[in-house]
Amino acid sequence: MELSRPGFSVYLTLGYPGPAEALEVLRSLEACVDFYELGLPTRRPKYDGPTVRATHRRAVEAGVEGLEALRLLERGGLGKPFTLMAYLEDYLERPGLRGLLEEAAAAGALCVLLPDLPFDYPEMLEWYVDESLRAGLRPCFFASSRFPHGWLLRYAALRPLYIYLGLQPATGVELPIAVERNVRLARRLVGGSYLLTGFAVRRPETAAALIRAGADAVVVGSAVIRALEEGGVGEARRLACSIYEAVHGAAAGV
Amino acid sequence: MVDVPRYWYNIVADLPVPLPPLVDPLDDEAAGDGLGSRIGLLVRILPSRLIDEEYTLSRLLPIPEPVREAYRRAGRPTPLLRAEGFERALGVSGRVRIYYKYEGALPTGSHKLNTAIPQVYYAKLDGAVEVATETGAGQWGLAVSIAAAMLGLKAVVFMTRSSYRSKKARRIAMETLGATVYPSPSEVTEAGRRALRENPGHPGSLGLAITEAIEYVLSGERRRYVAGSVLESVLTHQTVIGLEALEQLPEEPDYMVACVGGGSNMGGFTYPAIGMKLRGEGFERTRFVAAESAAAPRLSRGEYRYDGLDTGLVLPLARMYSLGKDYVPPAIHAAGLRYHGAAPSLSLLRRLGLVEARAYSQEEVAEAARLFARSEGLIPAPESAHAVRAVVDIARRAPEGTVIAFNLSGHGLMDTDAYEKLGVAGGGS
Repeated sequence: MELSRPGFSVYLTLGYPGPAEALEVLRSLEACVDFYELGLPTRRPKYDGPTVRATHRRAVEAGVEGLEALRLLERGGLGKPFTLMAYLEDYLERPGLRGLLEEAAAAGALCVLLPDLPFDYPEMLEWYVDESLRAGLRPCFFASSRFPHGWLLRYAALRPLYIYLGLQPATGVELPIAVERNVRLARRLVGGSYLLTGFAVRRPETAAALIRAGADAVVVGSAVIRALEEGGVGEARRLACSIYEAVHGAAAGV
Repeated sequence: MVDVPRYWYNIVADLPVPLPPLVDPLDDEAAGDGLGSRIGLLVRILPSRLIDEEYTLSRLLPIPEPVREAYRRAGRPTPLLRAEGFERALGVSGRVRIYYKYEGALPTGSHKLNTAIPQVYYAKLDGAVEVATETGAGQWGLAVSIAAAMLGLKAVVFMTRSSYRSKKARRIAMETLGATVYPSPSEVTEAGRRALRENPGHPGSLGLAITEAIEYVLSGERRRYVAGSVLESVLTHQTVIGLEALEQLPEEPDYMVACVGGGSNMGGFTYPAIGMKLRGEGFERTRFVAAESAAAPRLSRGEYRYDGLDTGLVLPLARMYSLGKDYVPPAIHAAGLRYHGAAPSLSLLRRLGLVEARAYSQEEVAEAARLFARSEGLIPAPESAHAVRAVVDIARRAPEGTVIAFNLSGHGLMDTDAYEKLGVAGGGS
């Protein structure tokens, strides 16, 4: 399966805001997302910013951690495709990479994004690809805004579902970085690969500019979480829908 | 005729594996001070354009024309010289050829101006009227003071207390240029006052002086912190050294050598060549050697892990070779090398075996400094003399035809106190 172009995705940690409400919140956003990115709750969200870290903490404190979070999806599932985000560090010993990917596939995920793989376990890249394919998943890869060109070329050659370009140093933290320049450069390197961009996107016009710069899709996490915290589901949906429209409008040349 | 380069080189684009990101502390170590995300805090600390240069996918970064012009005014390109006198003194003449890039030719007396100029320029673009920083021996503080004077900003420098006492000439030079210089730990910041309460005789450390400078920036308006080393963008600025050297070197060296404090001089001198090696465009047989102080041997004996860039954890954590953010190195004369960590990219290259490290005691270094001074007519800075020492070792064991290039990152004309105490002055050859 390929993701739609353009695409808009919302990231939420699975189990946030609570085990009982998580699925309901996701479904409320369904009309305004092309796919979801769901985080498996961890005690060590090392490469995330403060807002996403807080959602991991909340899920874990509510008793939802790691692969157990997938059980929440058994209550009827989602109306849109989803990918998972997990830290490989949490799964290496138990149940192992194979176990993680098999369970993700059984739950219906399209791929499992492992943001710590390129930095902490670069030697495991091919193994991850092999195991993903074996489990019936596509690989998907994370790249930061200071990343070797050789690795972006390598990613592209491995035919991923997507390459996720983290636009900022951490999720939800916005620094004065020329993100559109980095998207243009990444696009030149990854060719026709599906380029998903995220980290601290909070405005429709930013998302539209990213699509115009060459991104295929935009994912928003921290801003939706903050909207949810401050204005409830309605506010989160309004924000998601406005960015969804901007992404689709930009691709249509509106 | 070599001109000032039009671009800086960003080695991150060519690294064999991705560079681990800067991160916020995971535990509660830094919580409770109300500062929030350390990454988010960077926007209040660093010049905006420096942040952008830290997070770019570009391999080549255009040098703004006002910065190029300031480089020219300051004396770039610096010369690359053949050390024939030194070769004779070492007894390797005709067998080993030694070249050195002489950054001491700059008015600061060291390479530090290469990044002070763009950072102060970027701070000015942000509307800052003051720049604050730390300094060890005073070379970085002096460079910032000169750049600030050139560009019309005020410099505030936190100088490690041991150097504040011993490096009086640089302190007075900074003050002459209009800078305010505080001994660190100081009474000016909470971090300084706390350190003095715990240890009234604290000699200071670069890690603590960084925390003080940042606290100073955060406590006022229109202030920016300028970083002397460690950040990738700083190493990128310093690549003017290596890019010029690539044009100037008459032959490809077997060894490229530089001293390491935070890594900006080593990175600046070697990264363009390491980049060519990584891209398969040359320097296949070249070995890259980092010379550090045995008093702060982070690349030789440190641990590769996430650690604080500064003692107070005001900055994010970086994965690097570190002796621990709280490590206070002995008050050696090469104060510029008294830093607990090394730049993340240099640490990664060391871990991958692309850079070698050697640590030397100040006595070993003093001997090499004396030999170099008396054979080349140039007094090396005590920091740069570590590279000279490594060259001595390499040259004496090298086979016929070996070519060595090193970065003489600064002169030691303001470090005569160190050489007097180390017995370098006088005493025959």
